[in-house]
Amino acid sequence: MKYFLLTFVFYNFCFPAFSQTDSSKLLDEVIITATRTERKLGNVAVPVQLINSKIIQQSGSVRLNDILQEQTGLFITSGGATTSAGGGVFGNGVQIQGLSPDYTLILLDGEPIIGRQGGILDLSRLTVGNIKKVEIVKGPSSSLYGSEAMGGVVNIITEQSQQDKLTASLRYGRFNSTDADLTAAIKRNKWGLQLFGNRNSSDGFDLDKSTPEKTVDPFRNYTSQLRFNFWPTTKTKISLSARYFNEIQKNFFPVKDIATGNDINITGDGRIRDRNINPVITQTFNNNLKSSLRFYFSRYEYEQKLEKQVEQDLYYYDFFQQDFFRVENQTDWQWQKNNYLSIGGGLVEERLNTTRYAGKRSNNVRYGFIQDEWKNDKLTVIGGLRYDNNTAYKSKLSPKLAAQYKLNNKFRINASYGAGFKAPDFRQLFLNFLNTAAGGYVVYGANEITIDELQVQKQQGVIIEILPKAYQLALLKPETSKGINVGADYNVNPKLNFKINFFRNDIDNLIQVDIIAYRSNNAPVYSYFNVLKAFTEGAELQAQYVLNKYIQLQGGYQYLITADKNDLQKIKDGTVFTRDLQSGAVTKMHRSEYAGLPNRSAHMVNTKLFYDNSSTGWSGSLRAIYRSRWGTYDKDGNGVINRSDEFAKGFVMLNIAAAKTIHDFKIQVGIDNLFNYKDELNLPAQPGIQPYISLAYSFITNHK
Amino acid sequence: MFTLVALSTMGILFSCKKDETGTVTLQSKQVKDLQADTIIGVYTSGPATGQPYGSGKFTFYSLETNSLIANSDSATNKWDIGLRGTTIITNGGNSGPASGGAFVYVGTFDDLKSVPADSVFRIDNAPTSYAIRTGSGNGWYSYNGATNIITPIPGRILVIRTASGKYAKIEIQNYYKGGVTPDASASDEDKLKKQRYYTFRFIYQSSGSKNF
Repeated sequence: MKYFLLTFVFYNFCFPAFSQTDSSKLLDEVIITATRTERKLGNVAVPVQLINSKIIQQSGSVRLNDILQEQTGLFITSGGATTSAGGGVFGNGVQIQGLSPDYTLILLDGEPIIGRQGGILDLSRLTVGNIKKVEIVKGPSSSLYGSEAMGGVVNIITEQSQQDKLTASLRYGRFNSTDADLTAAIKRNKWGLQLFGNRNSSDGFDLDKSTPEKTVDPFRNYTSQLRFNFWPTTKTKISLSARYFNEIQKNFFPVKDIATGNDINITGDGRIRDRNINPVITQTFNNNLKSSLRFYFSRYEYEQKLEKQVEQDLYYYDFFQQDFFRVENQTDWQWQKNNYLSIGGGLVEERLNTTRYAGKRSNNVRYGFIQDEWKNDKLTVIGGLRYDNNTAYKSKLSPKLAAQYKLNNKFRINASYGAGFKAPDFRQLFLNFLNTAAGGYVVYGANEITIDELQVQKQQGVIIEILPKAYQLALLKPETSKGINVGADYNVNPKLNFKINFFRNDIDNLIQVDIIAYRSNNAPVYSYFNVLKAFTEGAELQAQYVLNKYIQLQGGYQYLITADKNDLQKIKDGTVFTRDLQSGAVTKMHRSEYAGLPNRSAHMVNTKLFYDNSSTGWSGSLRAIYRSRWGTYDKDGNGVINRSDEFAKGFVMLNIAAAKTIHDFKIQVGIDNLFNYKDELNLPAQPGIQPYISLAYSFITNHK
Repeated sequence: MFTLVALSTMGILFSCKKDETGTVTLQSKQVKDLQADTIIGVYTSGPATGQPYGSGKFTFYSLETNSLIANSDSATNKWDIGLRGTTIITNGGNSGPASGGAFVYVGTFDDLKSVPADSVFRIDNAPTSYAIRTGSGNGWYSYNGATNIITPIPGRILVIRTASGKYAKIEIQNYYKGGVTPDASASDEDKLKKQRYYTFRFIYQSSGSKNF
C-alpha cells in the first residue's frame, strides 16, 4: 500500500495541472477482433481491451510480454496449469481471466502464431517495434476463432504503410540487452510496401551466483517482416505479408557425471525458427457485401543440440517441426438495414515432425462459422456459431450470444455468453514414448493405444496388469469452456470513464495423464483422459481519467477466484486434510483455506500515468503493477494449495520512462522494475531492475 | 549389516495420552529415521542409467515389540510391516507367512478410535497389488513430479492387522532423514540421499480389541 501512496504523491508533485481533452474519443477507436468485422470500441458487447502504439512507445516496451503485463487482468507467467518450483523453462505466456496461457489464442494480423513449448507460446518471440495496436478479447471466443480461444484472444495488428517512412531506433539496457529496429515504408496511389527488421539480444542474467549456470542464457534473435498492399481497383485489395524469426540461445550448464561424481560442462545451441506467409484478397462488391480469401502458411522449428564441452560428445538432441496451413473465406453481408451477417469457413492442415514421436503426424480440420449482428439505436444483439470437424478428436460446436444495451449516451450494459475449446494437442493424441533412461515407463497418446492392443501386449508378456482405467480409453474430446460476462461502461463526463465486468468460466474435460497398465518390469504405462473440471470467476474494474490535455491516468483491478472442481468435491467430502507447518498436527481442511488453481493471484492492480506534450517534445509514463500472493505447489501432501508456505509473495513493480523529441530525433530513458523486485524460484524470467536508453531517428520528415 | 545401520540411526520416542477420566490409555509411539532401503548408488550403465538403487531389501518392523526385525527373519511371524522405498508390506498374502493385512483410513490419527465394523482388510499380492496401495495419491504418499519430493498425505492412517492378528494404526509423518523434507530447490543428490527415512507414529492394541 505504501507504494501506491508514493506513486500518487509522485504524480501530484511532478505534474502541475494543465487543461483538458476528450476521453470519449477512445470509444471511437476501431476494433476488429471482437466480431471479425471493424467495430467501434464503444459498440462491442464483449469485454475488450485495446493498446495502441503510442502507449507502447510511451511505456518503452520492446517485446509483447512487456506491454501485456501492465494490462488489467492479464498476467505473464512462465509456468503452465501446474507450475513447478523451478518454472520459467517455457518462456512468457499470458493468463487471461485466470485461464492458463495454454488456453489463450495469439494472433498476428488475425492469423495464429504456432510453436508452443509445454503449452506456452513465448510472447518474448514477438517484437512490438512494428505494432500498430494490440487487441485483446477476454472470455471464450471459439465461435469465431476455433481451438485455443478459451480464455481469450490477443491479436497483434502490425503497421501498414500510410506514408513514406524511414526510421531507425536502437535501445541499450542492463545485461547488455539491445533492441534495434529499422522500418521503411513506401506508399503510392495503388500500392504500399512496408519493410521491418528487428534485432534483439541479451547476455542473459543470473539470479543465483552460487551455481555456474545462468538463470537465462545469452540469446540473440532477428525478426524481419514484409507487408505489401496493392489495390488494382478501388474495390479490390491484395495483400501479402511475410515474417521470419530466428533465435539462437547459447546454453551452458554442468551435469553430474554418474560414474565419477564430477561435474561435466554441457554446451550447445537452442535454435528457434519461425516463418509465416499470408496472402489475402479482399473484394468489396458493393456497400453491403464484402468477401475475403486468406491463405496462411506457418512453420515453427525448435532444435536443441547439446554437447559435452570437453569430449564434444553429443549429450542431447531435440528437434521439433510444426507446419500449419490454412485457407479461409469470410464474407460480410449487410442483408438488412439493421442486420450484418458474417459467414466463413476454412481448412487447416497441421503436420508435425519431431524426434519425440515415432514418425510424422498430421491432422486436418474443416470448419465453418456464421455470425449475425442486429442493432437499433439502443440495442445490439450478436449470435454466432462455429463447427470444427476433424479426424483425430471429437468435433466441436461453439456458440456465442452477446448483447449491448445503451441506456443513454453515458451508460451501456453488456452481456455475453460464449463457448471455447482447445483441441487435444499432438502430444496428447500421438505421443508414443518409451523412456529407456528413467525406469522404462511408456506414454501413449490417446490415438496410439486401444484396450485390444493392451490385451495383445499382455498375451505377449510385455504387460503384466491392465488397470480398470484402460477400459475407459476413448477418442479424446476437446477441453471446453463456457463463459459468461456481464458488465457496464459509464462515461461520467468526457474526461472520466469507468468499466466493470463480472466473469465466470466453467472449464470441462481438462486432459490429464493417468496410468492404464503395468509393464513386466513394473514400470507404468500412461495415456490421456478427459477428467478434470475447473472454474474461474471474478470481477474487473477499469477507470480512465483525462486530467488535462497532457496527462492521462489509467487504473485497473481484477479480483479472481479459481478452483479445481474435483478438489472442491474432495474438500466437501471431508477427505482433504492439512499438516500444520510448525506443529505437524493434522486437521481437516476447510473450504476457506483452499486457494484454488496454482499460479493465480486473487488481486491484481495497475495504475498508470501517461504524459505527452507535443509542444515541448516531452513525454513519459509512470506505471505501477501489483499482484497479490499466488499458489505455487503443494507441500503438505494433500494435493491442493492451502498452507502459507505454498504461496509466492505478492509484489509491486514500478516502471518509469521519459522521452524528449527534438525535430526528427527522439531520446528515451527508462527504468523497468525500479524497486528491483526478484523471485528466483517463482518468477525466474524477472531479472530485476533494468535501466535503458534508446535513440530513434526518422530519416524522412512526415508531411501530413 | 544393513539392519545394523538402521538400528544405530534410529531413535524411538514415546508419548502418553490420558483420556478424560484420567486413566492412562494406549501409548502412541514414534519411530524416527527408520531406513527403508536407503539409496546407496546410482546405475551408471544399462537401461536404468541414472536411476538410484538401494540394497533392494525390505526393512522389517514389529509393532508389537516396537523393534526392528532382522531381514533373515522375513519368512517368520516376527514382523508386522516391511518397508522398502515407498512400498509398505504386511505380514500376509504372498508377502509373509502370517495372515496380516491393512487398509488406508481417511481421517486423522486421533479420529480413528476404533476399526470400523465394515472395514475390509486388503491382502498383499505382490508385485501387482498391495494391501497398502502403491503409487502417488493411491495410498499414503503423494509424489510431486516437478520437485521430485515425496510427502505423506495428511489424513491417511494405515490400519494394520498384525502378524499375531492384533490391530494397530500408523501415521506416516515424514519420508526424509531427520523428519525434514528438503526444499524444492535442494539438489537432486540431496533429495536422493535423504529419502527413505521414515518417521511415523503408531498405536498398537495388544488386547486384540479393535479400539485404540
